[in-house]
Amino acid sequence: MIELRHLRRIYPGRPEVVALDSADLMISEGEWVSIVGPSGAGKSTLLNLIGLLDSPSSGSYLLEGVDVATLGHNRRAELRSEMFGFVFQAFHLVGSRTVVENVELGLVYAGVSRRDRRARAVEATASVGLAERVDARTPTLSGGEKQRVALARALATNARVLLCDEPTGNLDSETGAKVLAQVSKAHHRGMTVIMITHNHEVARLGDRIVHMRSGRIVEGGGS
Amino acid sequence: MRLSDLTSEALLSLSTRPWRTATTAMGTVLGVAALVGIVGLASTAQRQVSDEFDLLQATEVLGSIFGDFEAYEAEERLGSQPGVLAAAVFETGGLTTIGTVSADSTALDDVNVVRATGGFHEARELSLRWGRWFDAGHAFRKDRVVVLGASVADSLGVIGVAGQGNMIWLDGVAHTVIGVVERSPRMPLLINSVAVPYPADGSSVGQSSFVVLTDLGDAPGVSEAIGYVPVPGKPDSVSVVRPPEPGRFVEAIRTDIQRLVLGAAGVALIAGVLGIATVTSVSVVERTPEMGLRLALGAKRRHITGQVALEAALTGMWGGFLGSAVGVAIVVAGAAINDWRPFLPPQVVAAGPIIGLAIGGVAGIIPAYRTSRIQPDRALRTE
Ligand SMILES: Nc1ncnc2c1ncn2[C@@H]1O[C@H](COP(=O)(O)OP(=O)(O)OP(=O)(O)O)[C@@H](O)[C@H]1O
Ligand SMILES: [Mg+2]
Repeated sequence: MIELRHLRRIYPGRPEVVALDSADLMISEGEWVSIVGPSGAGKSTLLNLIGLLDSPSSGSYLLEGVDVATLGHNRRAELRSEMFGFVFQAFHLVGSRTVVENVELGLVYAGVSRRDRRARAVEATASVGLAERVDARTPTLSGGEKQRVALARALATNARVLLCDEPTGNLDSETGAKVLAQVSKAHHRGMTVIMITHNHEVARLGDRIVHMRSGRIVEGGGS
Repeated sequence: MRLSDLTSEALLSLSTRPWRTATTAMGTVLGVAALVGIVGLASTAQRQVSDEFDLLQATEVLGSIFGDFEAYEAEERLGSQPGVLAAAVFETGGLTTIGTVSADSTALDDVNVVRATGGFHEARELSLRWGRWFDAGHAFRKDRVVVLGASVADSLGVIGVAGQGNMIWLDGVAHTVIGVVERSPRMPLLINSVAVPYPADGSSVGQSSFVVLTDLGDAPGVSEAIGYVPVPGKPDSVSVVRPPEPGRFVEAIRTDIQRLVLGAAGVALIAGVLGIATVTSVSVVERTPEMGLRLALGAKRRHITGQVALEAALTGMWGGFLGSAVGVAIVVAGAAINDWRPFLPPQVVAAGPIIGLAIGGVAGIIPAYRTSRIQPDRALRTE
């Protein structure tokens, strides 16, 4: 479903930074792919390109056979909404809103009606084990709870690909395990998972491990 | 995404930052308050002035009489016209020197002299401090009597009571003060004048005029017919002053007000737009990660543009609303101080939030456009 050919991302500047260099990567529907590599290797750059948060400098990206370079920004926004769910290391919750309002946010942009939105957000919140905290303000949550809210938000829209950038990087191993258990559940329901991690144990949860170094995929790029 | 969702997103964002919202709107609050306050005070004052002015105008007819005529007959004929409550013939233009001690003493120089018939008291709605106005009898007997205007009386120190022999000298001729005019709203000049009986022998010295007091609203009608009345058979010797158009005076005030309002509106606009534009730009930079997140969650550029612009517009509207409230308070307080009845056209109050909305919308356009162009990955990395 995801096919990257000779993908390059160069950040202009002096000197320019080649964050991703000629990456080839195939990912099939339903796979769980772990991405590992040292800091600065280009892992986040790769994930942002896959999630249509960024555009490559050269090379091609086929998403279900469609070259995304041909798509306008509105279509890209629609695809971000329909295809991808994001979970970031820094949670990225909107402070001073409640848990359920945060989970609803993706549904707002997916055009779900107000009533359905609430029901689906509550359901997704319950599915990550936070049923009791739906109306809590997010700053009052623990790190593990925040990351589960972020996960609920990514799952609520029924996205097909879950993109995680070090989702457990800020969590201790116990709370990290809880979050990973929820990811596992989603994966078993058929969700494609692409997860950046520094933790080799976590990486081994995936079907395949992609190794990166200095902007290059050095191992695990083929399907 | 529906407009209602966009609105509620914007409202939620604003309500979670009430202080920010209030300070952002400060310029708009002040500007709109100034605008509403000025318009309100001006309309209050205008209405006050025109109320009083129109009331006086609607009930009097003035005219001039040329050549020889019988003043006391003219007064009678005018007084018996339908719609006329009181009439008088008078003359202004002379000056006199007043002495209080002897024929050759001088207490006041160059005091206006008004010669008037007996009906003047009623026709000009004078209030007397004490004493009485003269009548035809004084004129025919050639009694040397005067009625003083209040400010003349005050300068002379004439305090006396009727019949107590308050003697003054007009150009060296002894006269008895028989009354003092306290108020003369229709002819303020009288307060600074001395009034003497209109001579019955026709020895007039200046330009004779007549005045009639009518029932409310009858002045225009009376003025049409009255030219024939004072001097029988000689309508040419009479010229009736048409009651002044009520609009003219009010119009002059209105032009001043318009200038003030334009100035205030300009200040309101500039202060409001600058205030909201500055804070919105800063605030949007601060919220870059949030906007990146929204884009990552599928927001289209127009959703981001819409939200930022709408937040700015609603902030402006809120500021306009507060500004209107402050403006109303200013008008009420200002009216109370001057003892006026406050008057504020409702459209002006309603315009406050609308002006604010427009100010905010204009101020939000550039930050809104810029925010929608950010790269989502870049925005998410900002922190
Ligand atoms: N906007 C940018 N402008 C210039 N250089 C950038 C920009 N974003 C990232 N980089 C550089 O690109 C390279 C790859 O960055 P990236 O964030 O993809 O690394 P990473 O593998 O995710 O690292 P980490 O494990 O620390 O998150 C780094 O050298 C980084 O400094
Ligand atoms: Mg990274």
